[in-house]
Amino acid sequence: MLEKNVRRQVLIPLTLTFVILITSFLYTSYRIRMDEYASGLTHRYHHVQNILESLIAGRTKSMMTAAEFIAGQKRFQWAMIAGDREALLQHASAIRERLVAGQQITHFNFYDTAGRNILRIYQPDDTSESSERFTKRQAMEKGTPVSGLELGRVGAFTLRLTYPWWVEGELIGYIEFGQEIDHILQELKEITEIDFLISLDKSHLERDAWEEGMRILGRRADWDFLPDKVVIDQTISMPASVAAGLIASRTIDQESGSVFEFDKRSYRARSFPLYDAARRSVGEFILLKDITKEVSSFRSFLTRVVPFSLVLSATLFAFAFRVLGRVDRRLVQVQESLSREFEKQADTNQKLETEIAERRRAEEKLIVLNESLEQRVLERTSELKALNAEIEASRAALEEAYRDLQIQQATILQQDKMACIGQLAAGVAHDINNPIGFVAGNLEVIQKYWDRTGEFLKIQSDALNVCAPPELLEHVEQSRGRLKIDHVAGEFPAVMAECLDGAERVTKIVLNLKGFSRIDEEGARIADIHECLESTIGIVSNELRYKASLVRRYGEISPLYCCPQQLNQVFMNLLINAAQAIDRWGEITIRTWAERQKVFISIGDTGCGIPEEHLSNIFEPFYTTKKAGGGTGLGLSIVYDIIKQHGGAISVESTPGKGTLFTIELPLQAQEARSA
Amino acid sequence: MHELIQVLCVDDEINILNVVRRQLDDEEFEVQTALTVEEGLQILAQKTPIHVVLSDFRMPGMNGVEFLQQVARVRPEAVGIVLSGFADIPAVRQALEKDALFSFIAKPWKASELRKAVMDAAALSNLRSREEGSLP
Repeated sequence: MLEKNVRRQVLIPLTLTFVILITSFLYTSYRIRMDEYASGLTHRYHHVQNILESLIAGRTKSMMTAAEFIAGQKRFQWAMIAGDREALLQHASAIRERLVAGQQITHFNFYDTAGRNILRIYQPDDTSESSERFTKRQAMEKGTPVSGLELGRVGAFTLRLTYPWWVEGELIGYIEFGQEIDHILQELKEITEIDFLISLDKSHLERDAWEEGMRILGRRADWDFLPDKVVIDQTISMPASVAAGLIASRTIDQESGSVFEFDKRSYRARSFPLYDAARRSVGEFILLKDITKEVSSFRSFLTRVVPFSLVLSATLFAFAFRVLGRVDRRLVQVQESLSREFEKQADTNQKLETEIAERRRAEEKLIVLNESLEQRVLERTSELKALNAEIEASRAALEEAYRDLQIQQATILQQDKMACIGQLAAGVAHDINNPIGFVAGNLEVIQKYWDRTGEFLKIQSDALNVCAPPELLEHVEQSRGRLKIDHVAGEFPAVMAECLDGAERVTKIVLNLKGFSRIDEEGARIADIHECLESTIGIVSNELRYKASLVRRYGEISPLYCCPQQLNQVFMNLLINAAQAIDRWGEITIRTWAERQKVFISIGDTGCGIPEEHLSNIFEPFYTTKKAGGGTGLGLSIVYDIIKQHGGAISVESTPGKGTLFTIELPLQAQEARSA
Repeated sequence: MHELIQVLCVDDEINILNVVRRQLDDEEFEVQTALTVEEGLQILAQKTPIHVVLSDFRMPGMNGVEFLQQVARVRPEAVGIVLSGFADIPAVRQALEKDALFSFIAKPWKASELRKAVMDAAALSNLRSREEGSLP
């Protein structure tokens, strides 16, 4: 299959190429030959025409010379002018012999100025008018000599010259010479060795005249030889059929002409149109060339070249066939190995495809797995998030609880502390109250005694004034002066008052201590906030005394159900903070008022204030700006806690550098769960 | 006043006793003092009348209220007054509510306060004595 294909594919074009090459070679050779013939024929024609023209020119010239000669002869002139035919015939006959013998001038006529025939030298008796001729007409029109070939009715070509005869500027007539072209053609044939054939159209001829003329010329005249033409001259005699075929041939008037054979010879022929003096196409001049030799040489060339080409082509074909066979075999081998390779490849491909399919399945599984994994991861993540949130919540709750615990612990600690202080205060109060009791009591006794003593002294002094001798009175007066009794008497009430005041103050301190610790009370009760405030102020007065003046702006507030002990602690913490906020000296203002079923207590100071960034944190436990050891950071958180337990609220306003104001609001309505 | 108000004052602090004696050192009062509860009970055991018993609250061996409860059994006409340090108030208040004592006076006290309290107590004591006397 493949073998055939390759061979066919290569050999067919190769063969075609050979064929085309050989054909084109042969055709080219042929064309070259043809061109050679054509150019040869054209060349010959031009050659013939040149020679013919020169021949005609020569004849014309000799006729011209003869005409000029005659025209110049006085005797001719006279004869002509006189119209003397006889004289003319006589004079002309003398020259005629020479003209016929030397110049083959067979026609010699005279015409008058109107072109009428005067005399035919050859036929003096024939005075009939000659036929209208082109040359004569031209000469009469132009007044100059005119020459040209003219076809006569007899079918002979005549070279004529019509010479206007001028004598001293006056036209006296015309001289006409003529000679048959046959002579010229014979001459031409001799010079060029070319065969030709001249045919004329029958339309220009008269059969009888032509046959007569031909007979005169001694030639064969066959009017019916050709349908529309007659042959007037030929150098080669040929059968009518050949001549007819030749003239009818289409290619005869083309450049390469037409080829024909007869009498075992080959000829190439070309026709050229034949014109008369009036430029009418009257017939054909057919040039014939014997190409028998050339044809035979071309044939022998062909017989040499064609077999050689064929042999060469065959050799090349065979070579190509063999080479292609080898190529084919190799191709087959290669193809086989390729197909084996291809099968292997196909096998591998099959495996690969299987593998790819498996992989794709695996990938799909993976994708599904991934999706489920992602789903699971998402679920887990959300679970974890939920758990985290729970943990976070429980952590926050734990922190809250821890903070509560811390606050509670701190509160408990604080309460313990307060309880300790209370117990201590109670003990101290008892211990102090006894001495104070008898000191104060004794002071009253002293007062009483002093009053009694004074009264007695007055009685004594009155008695002395009544009955004592003057010297004794004077002595008493002196003693009174020396002992400054009046002064003592004057001072004594002040001394007593001061002592009583001291005792009173001690009593008050103890009372405050007692009232503050409330060691003798438990839980909530109805209490007077002002009392609470006052007892607290009493306790912390030492802290305040050297820092600030205390301003009380107590409003009308009703007693409140509360834990006074805890509120005392609140007031103490706030007052101590206020005192600590004051650097050198300031003012602490305590205000109370009632509003909308609520009791308000505000404690303001003119201290350093709290920076804004701390304000939101101050109620948080363990938040302190005091130096380490300066404070627990629990004071305000305990305050906050206690107020919250009372269902109240505490707020703070502060301007750094100006001071701080804490405002507590407590509900008047008794609420449960106040006890701590 | 034809009859002196007999006052017994019991306190472990001698100075208190002295002050009370001095403050009540007037024509209406006759004050006997005792440094201990036992001593006070001995005085009460005597036949002399006692109208008012002034007692400290905190004393070695027995507190003032317990003492006055004993006094009430021995001498029902005697009216008790507690002269108290403030630390003891709840117990004193309980006693007041049980009518075990007439009133209490917080230390330190005013002389006028003491005199008034003792006078009132004496008046109550007289009333009780008259009731007692009319009954049997």
